[in-house]
Amino acid sequence: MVAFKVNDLRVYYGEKEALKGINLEIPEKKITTIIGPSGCGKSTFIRCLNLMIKEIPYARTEGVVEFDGENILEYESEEEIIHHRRRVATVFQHPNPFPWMSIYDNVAYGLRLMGMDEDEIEERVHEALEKAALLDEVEDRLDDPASALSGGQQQRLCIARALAVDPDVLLMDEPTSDLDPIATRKIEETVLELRGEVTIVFVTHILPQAYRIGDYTAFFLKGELVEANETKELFNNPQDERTQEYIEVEFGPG
Amino acid sequence: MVALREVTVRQAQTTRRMLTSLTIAAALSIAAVVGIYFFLTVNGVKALQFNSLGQILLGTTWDPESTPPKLGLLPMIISTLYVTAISVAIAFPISLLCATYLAEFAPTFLRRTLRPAIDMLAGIPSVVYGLFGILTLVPFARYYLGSPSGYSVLVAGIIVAIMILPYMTSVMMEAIRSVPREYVEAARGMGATRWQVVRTVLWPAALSGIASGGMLGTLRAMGETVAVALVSGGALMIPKSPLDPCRPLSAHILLQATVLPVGSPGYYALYFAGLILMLMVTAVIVAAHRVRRRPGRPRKRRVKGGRLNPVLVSRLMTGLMIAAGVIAAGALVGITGYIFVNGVRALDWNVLFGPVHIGDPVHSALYPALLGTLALMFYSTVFAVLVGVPTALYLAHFAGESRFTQAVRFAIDTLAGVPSIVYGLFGATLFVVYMKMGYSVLAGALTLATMNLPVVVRTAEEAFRSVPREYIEAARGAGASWYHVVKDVLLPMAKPGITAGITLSMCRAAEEAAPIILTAVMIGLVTSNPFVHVLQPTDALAFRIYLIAKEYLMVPEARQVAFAAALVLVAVTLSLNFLAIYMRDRFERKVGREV
Ligand SMILES: Nc1ncnc2c1ncn2[C@@H]1O[C@H](COP(=O)(O)OP(=O)(O)OP(=O)(O)O)[C@@H](O)[C@H]1O
Ligand SMILES: [Mg+2]
Repeated sequence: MVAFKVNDLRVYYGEKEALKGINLEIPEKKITTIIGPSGCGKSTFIRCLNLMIKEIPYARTEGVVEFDGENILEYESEEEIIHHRRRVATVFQHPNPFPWMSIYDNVAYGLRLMGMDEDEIEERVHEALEKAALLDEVEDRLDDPASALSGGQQQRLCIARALAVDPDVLLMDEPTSDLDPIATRKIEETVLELRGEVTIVFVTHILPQAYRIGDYTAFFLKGELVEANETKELFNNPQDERTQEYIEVEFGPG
Repeated sequence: MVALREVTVRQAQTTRRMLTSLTIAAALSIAAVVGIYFFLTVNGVKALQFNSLGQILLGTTWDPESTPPKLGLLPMIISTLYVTAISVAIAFPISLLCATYLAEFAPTFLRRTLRPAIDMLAGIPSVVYGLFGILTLVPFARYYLGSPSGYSVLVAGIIVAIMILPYMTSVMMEAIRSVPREYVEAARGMGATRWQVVRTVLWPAALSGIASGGMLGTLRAMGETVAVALVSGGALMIPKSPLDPCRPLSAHILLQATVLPVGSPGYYALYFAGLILMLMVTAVIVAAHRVRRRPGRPRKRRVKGGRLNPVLVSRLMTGLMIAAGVIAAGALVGITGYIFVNGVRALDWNVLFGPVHIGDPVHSALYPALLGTLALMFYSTVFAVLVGVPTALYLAHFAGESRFTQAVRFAIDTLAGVPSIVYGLFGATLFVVYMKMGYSVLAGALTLATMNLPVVVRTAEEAFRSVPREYIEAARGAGASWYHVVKDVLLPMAKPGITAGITLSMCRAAEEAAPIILTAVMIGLVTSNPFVHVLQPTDALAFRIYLIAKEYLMVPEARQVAFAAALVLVAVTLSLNFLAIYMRDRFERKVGREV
């Protein structure tokens, strides 16, 4: 099954073309990793999947991003956009839990936005923290400020906040680039646990990471999709020589 | 070699001398605060010789000439609270909605135009608001709202609300704009509507900034004197309804200070009133500092309107924000337009440069008043800069975290919160009476300079601070003494910022009527050149408008003169403000900050 079907997607920031005709299918309930050098358009691609691209007034899109049988790029009304974002949750590069809220309130945030009732929220908050592998660490201090957590914990809190609304898709844009190796490992484990439950799109520029956790991998370069394949296949047997070169330089030969 | 050595020694000496002067300048602001409290307390406490504390605080009769004198201040205290409450209740929500709209929703071009426009409007003198109020809202309240005279708590509250709107909006807008985008993105990414972003992210994250905007507005409302003195009616009674006339503490001080003989029981009671005002101000400052959301206290409230369609709510709220913007803009454009249209019609050669009739504010030409205003602006700014810029330099680059530095900082913060009428009282005691300057340009300028000290210090300190460190280090690395760093790097780099501070200070000197009424002006004796005869009293535009609006509106040509004077005054303050804003923007660009 396919979660997103992207067809000839082009994105312009003003005059600058940041994505130049992307064709890609993102499989459901699998982990798709997206790799590529800085500035190649990975974040821009993610912004098209959660429609955050629509928050940038001077950005323009062409092409089709099909989700659930509809071209989401055609969504114009606030209702449609918001409805979409509640199904497609995002974890950003820099951990950004709301520091003025408690740990609990952070996770409950999306549920409260939907107007859910507090008893149900309580249950869901615990579930989400459990899924994000954070429950054990914070169970007895749910009312502490979110800012009291370590960087890695904050990022897992953001994962919990995203998972609480029970999304179909979880988009993660370099979620570990601000974290140390141990915290990174922890996030990777968390993500692997979620495989099979939600569709995950995971952007990273650390190739070993993409290799470790990906089912599928797409390689972006200068706004173009060079190659997409099953992860093992892409790394061990790249079809395009640009892919081969990039992997050799970044991974080391072999 | 010998020559080089001598040069070095000389430069080290110059640097030491410079540091000493900076420290002395900084110490002066502490002296000012101590002085203000000293005179207020010493004189205020003397009122207790005539009446008990209870009689003063709870007494409802003000009759300082009877025996024994009756010095009850309760009606004034209640009036101050009443007017402040009404104005803040009107201005706070409108400012908050306006600021939110401008910071988050408005298209960039609108924000770019409105931000400086709002800052400009903050420069309209309060006496002009008072004139507007007397000629429009007062009759409106009389004919349509059934207020007995029209002069009322309500009109005062509305006028003050319009006055404090730009201040609050400006501060709140900055606070909301500085909320990190990542939080907004997180919320939007979770599917929050625009209004939900405002309610759950922008306002909570900007809470302390919003509170300090509210605080600034409240302080101004409490201390506002001239406009309130004009439209409140000055009645010595406890207002029972918003349509009744009243007399807030500040207006009371203004109205009585020039009438009561120095050393009389009522005179001391005015200082007591000043003390009460200072106490109220301090209470507001303390309260605003306590508003800071303790992070992460669970606030398990059920989401209101969960049943309502959030997108619809969001649209409604956006509409409400736009409406608030339209109301605010309408009020301010209305006032400015009113003054401009009437002023342009009233202005002619004769009004400006015709004959001067001693003792007749209506038929006397305006040029002596303009000259007086310019002289007060000039001298007060010279004094404020002479003390303020060195203080700023000291704070920005030479102050360690010593007790002394803390005291200087505290003094500057305190001075910034003192109402202008209290400066008037201070100047009237220290400069007019004790230093025997009498009502004079000099006394007025010194009073205004004290009032403007915090403005100058703050803008200049910020300017000095934002000079990039690498320039200073480059100069130091090349062997420059601190004296040369100051002369060749800090002062030139900070110049636009300092100039902005200077223009703001000039602007305030032009628009404040209350302090000079207590220290500098006298209608009728003005035949001398105020730039030269600094020990003579002077006429001034703000004072002239106040006097006409207060006493002479019955005279046929009075309005014309008042409008003309208002137009000239507004032209002076708005162009100065424009200059200050322009300088600030240039400065921000120079040090590479986003505008
Ligand atoms: N808001 C924006 N406005 C203008 N140009 C942008 C904007 N965001 C990205 N770009 C440009 O679009 C291109 C793609 O940027 P994008 O952020 O998608 O790259 P990325 O692959 O995520 O890079 P990184 O690994 O550094 O995060 C870049 O050239 C960038 O300069
Ligand atoms: Mg990126």
